[in-house]
Amino acid sequence: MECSQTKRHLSEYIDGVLNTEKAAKVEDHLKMCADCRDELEALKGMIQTLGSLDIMEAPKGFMEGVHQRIERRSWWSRIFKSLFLPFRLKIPIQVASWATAGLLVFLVFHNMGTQEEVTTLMQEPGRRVAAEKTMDAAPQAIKPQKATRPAPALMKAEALPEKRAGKSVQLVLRVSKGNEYTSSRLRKSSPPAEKKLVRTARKRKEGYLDQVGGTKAPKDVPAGKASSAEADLAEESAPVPGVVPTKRAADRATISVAGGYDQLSARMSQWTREAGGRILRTDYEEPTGRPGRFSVEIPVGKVADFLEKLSGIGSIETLPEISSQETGKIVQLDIRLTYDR
Amino acid sequence: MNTDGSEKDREKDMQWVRDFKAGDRSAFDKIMLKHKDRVFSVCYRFLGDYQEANDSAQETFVKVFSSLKRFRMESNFSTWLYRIAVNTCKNRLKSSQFRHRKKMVPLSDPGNGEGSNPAVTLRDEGPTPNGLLLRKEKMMLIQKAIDSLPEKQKSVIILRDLEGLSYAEVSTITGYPLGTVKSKLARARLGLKNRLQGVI
Repeated sequence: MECSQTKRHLSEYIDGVLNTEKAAKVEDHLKMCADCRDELEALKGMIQTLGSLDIMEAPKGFMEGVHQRIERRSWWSRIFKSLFLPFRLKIPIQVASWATAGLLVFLVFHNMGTQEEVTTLMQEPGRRVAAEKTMDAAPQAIKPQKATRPAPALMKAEALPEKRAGKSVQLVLRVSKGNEYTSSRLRKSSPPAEKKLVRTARKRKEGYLDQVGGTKAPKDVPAGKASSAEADLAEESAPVPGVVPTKRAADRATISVAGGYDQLSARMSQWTREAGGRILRTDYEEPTGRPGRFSVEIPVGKVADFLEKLSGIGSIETLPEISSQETGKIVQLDIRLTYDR
Repeated sequence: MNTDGSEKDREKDMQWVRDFKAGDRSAFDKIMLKHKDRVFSVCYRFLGDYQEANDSAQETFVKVFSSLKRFRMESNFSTWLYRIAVNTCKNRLKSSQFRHRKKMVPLSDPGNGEGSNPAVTLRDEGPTPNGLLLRKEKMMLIQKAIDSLPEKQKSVIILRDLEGLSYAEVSTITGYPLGTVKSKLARARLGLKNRLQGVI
């Protein structure tokens, strides 16, 4: 055996794991070769040195550290188990629930986007006219429904976001006897059987109009008569199709009878539009078919003007309390109509 | 933790394992108390870094804790424990975090920055501080030489020459065939001897 072969087997020879045949050859070579004997001694010395290295002590707090890690790990494993195990059951449920939640979030944001679009449409001056047309088209569109399903027909002009109506105010409008809006049918029809509207104490319109910042303060006028101020107002208002305005200083209204209650509705629609608002709904009384209630949305700043125009129809019995500081907000007026016998 | 240790020690380990499986968590503490120094020592020889060795040794016992109930008691417990420790160290060696840390030299490290730590216990060769210093320096050089070995050679020489395990046990722990263990060990010894020429 040569030196290179001998050196290759020295490690196993030292450990005593070399087979007897090879071990004998190594021993024979070692007897003759001093170089290999030195190599053997060097290896033995190194192995002895490595074996003599002391065992290192684990640092203080080693066991506490292990316990902390175990606690931390068990906490995570508990969460993992509660969330995901068994996989077959929980994963499909979680996927389904996440998908449902995602769908709901999408729908909510989608609807919010649509509402914002409507609001923006209403707020942009250029588009406002188009939006108003759309709103006003609604009552006209539902007029045929009135014929087929007379009353009490709750007519919804448009699905509106509730947040736009900052405040809801109820008021009673007593339509004067002999008024052009009532003359054609009121005289013919019998008094409504269900006329049970609560009439509260009459307030002076002057006071109210001063409160809301109106420029004109028309006097309280008895039914059937009109003040000169109201006549002026009627002159200023735009004509309604199918209605011929006339000037009569003694009369409060200036529109000749052409369509009776229909004219009343048309007039209400016009004034609402002029005030920058819209009609939300109109109720009709049974069996007369005359308007019993209007719900309109109007900017607060335009309420005074709107009420002035309303006073051309009759007297407002319950005046709403609206602060003029709320300018910019939109108020919902719930107008109930009563008719003089 | 010598696996060639007495049958009594082996039986004690097995009894603790049985107790742990029966729900006695204090049995795990007994196991850890008995084996922690050995495990830490192996980890330190493998990684050459005190903090890394501590982390790896602790991780080893955490793994033991979580998988002890699945231990089938067919093999020697200490062999199983070594295997977990070696695999943990191998994974740590491969991790990028470890490689990054090895490039950093701690400020507290006097000299070469490897293998130095306050907890290294050295055999007292002499009462003089000079002897202690020489011993420590020698120790650092040996650790540095071990660190420079390839991973397979390193694991074989640590288990065989530093821990004193048999070839069969080294083969079981590392998963290498017996012939591979012999050849790797021969090369590792030769390489280490050459690196430590003049030191030993």
